[in-house]
Amino acid sequence: MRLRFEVNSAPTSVDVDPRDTLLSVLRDDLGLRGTKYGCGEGECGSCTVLVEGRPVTSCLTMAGQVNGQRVTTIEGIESDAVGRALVEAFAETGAVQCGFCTPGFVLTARHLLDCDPAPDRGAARRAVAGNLCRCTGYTKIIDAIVAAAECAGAARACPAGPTSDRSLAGDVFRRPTTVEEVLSLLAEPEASTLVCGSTDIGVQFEHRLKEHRFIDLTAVDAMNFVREDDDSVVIGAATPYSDVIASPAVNEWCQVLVMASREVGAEQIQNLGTLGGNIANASPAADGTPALVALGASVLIRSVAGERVIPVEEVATGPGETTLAGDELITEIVVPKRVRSGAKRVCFFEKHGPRRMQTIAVASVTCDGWLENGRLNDVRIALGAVAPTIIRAAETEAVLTSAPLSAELLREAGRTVQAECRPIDDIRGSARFRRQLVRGLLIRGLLPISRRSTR
Amino acid sequence: MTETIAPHIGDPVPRIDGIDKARGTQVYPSDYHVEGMLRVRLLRSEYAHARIDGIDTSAARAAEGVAGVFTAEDIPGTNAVGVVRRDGPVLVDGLVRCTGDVLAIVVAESDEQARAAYALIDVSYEPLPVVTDPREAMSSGSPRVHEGGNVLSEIHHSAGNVEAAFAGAEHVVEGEFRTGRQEHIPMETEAGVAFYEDGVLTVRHGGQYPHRDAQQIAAVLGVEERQVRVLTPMVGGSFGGKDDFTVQCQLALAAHLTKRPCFIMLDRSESIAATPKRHPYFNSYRIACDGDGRLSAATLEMVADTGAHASWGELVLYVSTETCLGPYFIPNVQLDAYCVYTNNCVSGAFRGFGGLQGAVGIECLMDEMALELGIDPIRIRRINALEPGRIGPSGIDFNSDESSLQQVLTEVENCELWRNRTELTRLTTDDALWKARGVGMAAGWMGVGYGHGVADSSEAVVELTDGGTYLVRMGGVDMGQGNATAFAQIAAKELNCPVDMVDVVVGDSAGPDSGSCDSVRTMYVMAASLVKAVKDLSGQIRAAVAEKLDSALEDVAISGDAAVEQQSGNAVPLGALGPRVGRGAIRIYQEDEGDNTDDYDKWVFTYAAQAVLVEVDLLTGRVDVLQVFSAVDAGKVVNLQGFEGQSEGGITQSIGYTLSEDCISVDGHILNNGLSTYIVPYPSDVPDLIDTVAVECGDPQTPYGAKGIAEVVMIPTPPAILNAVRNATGVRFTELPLTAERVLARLADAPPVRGQ
Repeated sequence: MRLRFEVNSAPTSVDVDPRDTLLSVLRDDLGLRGTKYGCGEGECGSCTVLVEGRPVTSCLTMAGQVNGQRVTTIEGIESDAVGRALVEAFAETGAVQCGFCTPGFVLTARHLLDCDPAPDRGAARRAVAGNLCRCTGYTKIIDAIVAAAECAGAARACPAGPTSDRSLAGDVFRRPTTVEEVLSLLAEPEASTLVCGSTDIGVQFEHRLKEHRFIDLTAVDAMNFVREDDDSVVIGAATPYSDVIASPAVNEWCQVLVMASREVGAEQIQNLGTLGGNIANASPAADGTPALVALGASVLIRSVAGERVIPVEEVATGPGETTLAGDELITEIVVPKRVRSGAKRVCFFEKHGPRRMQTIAVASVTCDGWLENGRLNDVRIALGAVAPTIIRAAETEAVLTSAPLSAELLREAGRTVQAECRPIDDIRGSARFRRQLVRGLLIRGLLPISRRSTR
Repeated sequence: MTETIAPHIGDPVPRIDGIDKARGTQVYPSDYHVEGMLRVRLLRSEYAHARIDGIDTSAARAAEGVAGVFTAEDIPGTNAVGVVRRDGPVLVDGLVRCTGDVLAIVVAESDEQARAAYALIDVSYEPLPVVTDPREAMSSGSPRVHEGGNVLSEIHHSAGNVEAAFAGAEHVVEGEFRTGRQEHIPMETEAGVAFYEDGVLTVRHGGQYPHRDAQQIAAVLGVEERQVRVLTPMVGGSFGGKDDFTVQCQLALAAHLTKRPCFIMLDRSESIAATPKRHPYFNSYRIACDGDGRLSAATLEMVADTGAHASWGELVLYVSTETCLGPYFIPNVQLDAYCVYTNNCVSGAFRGFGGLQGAVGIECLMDEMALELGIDPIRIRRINALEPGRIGPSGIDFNSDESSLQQVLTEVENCELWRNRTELTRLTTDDALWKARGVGMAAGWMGVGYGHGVADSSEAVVELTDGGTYLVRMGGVDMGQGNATAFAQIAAKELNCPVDMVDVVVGDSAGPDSGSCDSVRTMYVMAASLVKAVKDLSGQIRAAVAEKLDSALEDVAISGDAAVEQQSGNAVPLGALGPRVGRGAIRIYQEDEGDNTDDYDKWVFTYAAQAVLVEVDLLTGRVDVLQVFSAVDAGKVVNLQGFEGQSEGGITQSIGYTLSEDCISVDGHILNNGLSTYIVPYPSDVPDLIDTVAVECGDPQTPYGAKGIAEVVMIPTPPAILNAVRNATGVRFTELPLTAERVLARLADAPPVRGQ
């Protein structure tokens, strides 16, 4: 199938299978070998390119998913002063050793300088949290980014502008632009897999993408939005995490969702991944879903036959298993505005993974509620990675609202939450460890609240 | 006097390859593209130990796009390769010893076709019992991995009267220490291309010693060595992992048998599952001292898991025994060390090469001893410091008249992190409810070069080109350490020219043989041969110009792109001299010349000491390293930027080794073969403050006094972290990696919500 997109400002047309990864099309078909293969699962950032100015992992992105869009690779980085300053700073400050990871770092840093022209060291380090370097120890990479910012200009990596036609109609990869089109494609007898950020599909189906037919949702603008209604915040199911994080309405009403979204992978994954995908993928280790469960959110599910609304926690029935029928699509997530006069809203998202960032939860505890005269009220707690699905911790909630916060109450809540979870052993951690973790994470989240309440 | 144009030794010279790498134009082994190249995939074993009754490749050979499927019987030459001994098959012939063993090579027009064909190969396995614990493998009833028995090598050393010394000791401490199976995770997985060009098979891949590769590939193919050329240009990271036979022989076979250009690049999962690792060790230590803290005796039993093939095993064990009792004087010693075959993934070379595994136990026990005596941990190391000229604790007379141990300890003693450790570990009342902080320190030492009595040599060539610029040709591969830059800097210094007048070509088996690029021997041996080559060339240039100008040799000096007669100021441009070649060679510890040669008569050691600040999350068990101070004896820093980069990078790898990196291996299968489960440190996992100070205790024999530091910087980090965690929590952990799960398992006995 012929794909048309812009690569480094040049209109590019290439005849490939749209299910080929963007990485392989750039390297093998377009000869742009500055983009590197490091892991094939979106973990290392070596394959980072910019799509519409935002860093994404090209090993997870299918080529058809950028049709009609603008891609910047390392070969195009020196088209402006900011990019030139970065390249020079990396070379001059010793940020380059073997250099294999360097293009990915430079591109990720390029986007940072669009968002924050004068990052401090901490901001620079957070920005590249999804990039792995095995040689340098990072100090000099951070030096380079900060130094580049000092001499960089104000140009943007990819100025905003209209994109060309992104749609694709084919047999094995369809890229519709409206919800109605998606629904009618889903109603076809032959099964298709829905894909959006591809951050799970790309990992699960690595090397096997061509065994599947896809309906890609990334060009459905009607699923990519955040809207504030009178009594709810509505988020399109195909809205990337980075837009969720940036939304003022989400920040005002759904703070715990912002906290959780910031811990989904790192920049590249946040630019790809979506809440709809997170819910439908039904991983018990999801980060976005527990926040939605704690917020009491529902999903709107549509099909050609009609629509239904169910609470988020009723979608998944087990790891990778859902109540969604083959022709159904989650189109939006409705987060009710929770209000309680005279009370202070308290929330936390506590996660333990083997790394600080860019990590999969071994356990997580999400909490949203109110603090009123030293007492928690209307508190909702969701647990991640300690049961076959994301679960509500109803008994723990009951304990926490039964009396004013105290050390004894925290201890009791810790015991309750350990009893309430149903973890398993796997290579990420034993069931015993996960039980200890939910207790620890719950207490870690509650300690500052408890402290505030007793002062 | 002629003006000095070259940068000084020690200046922070930016890498000569930095700009190409930053703009993505550097061509790595996985980037090299030959028109019409085929894709290669390797079929590895489903079992860690099995007899192969047959491999049916007929369906795979008939599959679409397949150019060939090859098994052991297709090998024209010898089916055995290895870095120390040739005990590993290129393709399994009858017996599988680990899951990384390759059964067949699949070559197809596209990668997809190669993967599809690979699934069609039918292997008849007869599974055999598996042994995965090296201690069990030593017992007589264990399954045999190799005919000759499972103990690859053993080293024993006795000194004094250990029993009597322990009986009379004031204090005894002991511990069993285990270390993990660390994977290198080079950013570029094992990759390369092979193709015939004018009758010569060219193999461009990511390796560390092109001459060794060419020699053994030729033997496998059954051709003359001159018919194989191996190029190992800029490599995307290695850390020892590619200092072995990874994919180059199978790749060469594919191109040789199909007579077509071939390309291979391992998936990350395959690279983790099948390539060599750092040896896991099981060490039991017992040390004794008198009432003043003077060590009197030590016993150590050390068992290293070398996996299914020898690789570097015996040398890794040897290097461990050099340093495993620390840089301390211990009069009574019993040391028993074994390197043992198992059906696990092969263990091989990894930066630090046996030095890390041995340092953990002794440096932790030095702290335990200090606690028992109530003395400062630096003090106990000082009073036991091995004085120059004394025999090392494991019996090695390393004939060194220098030790910088006291100097690196002084640096740690005076650093802010150590001096302010009380303030730095103090937490607010709120934080103290669930966190604990600790500062710990450790020392370390490491030989420079291959080691005592191992023959070592290097050749270098420097050319003056027609255009009046220089070209350095060396074997020393640049996997990211900055060899090429250091070579250019050395040539520029000796030829008094700017660094950009020097081009460097490294890693070509048709060029000079500089030996393998490992054992921190680059600045030690390779650089010495380069200095000789450059002096040779400089002499030739000056002589030619002296003759031209009818002047004395000593009156001619090279200055940039010309040679100048000092008195008259008359200059001859180098471009006018025509091409010339300077050569240099260095030989040390040649067997036929005894232990020492004219080049070096001392064995070079280097030292490091570090202090770290850690924070332990008592609720989750997570350990974070917040600050590191590192003092390293670099002899003489050649390039400050490179020195800091090697130090920061090495410490980061060592933090990973200490806290998270380990291959979870069950019945010889590595389960965590992806980057979401094999956990290496990312930017958020590493402290912003890694402060490295160079102690410059120059070695008079090496160029400028330089010593290799890339390995020794890693050595104190693991015990320093364990000591800091001990100080934070009161718990002595002895198993690496120190994962949150392991920490919490021990802390959980004392519920951590304290003080409320």
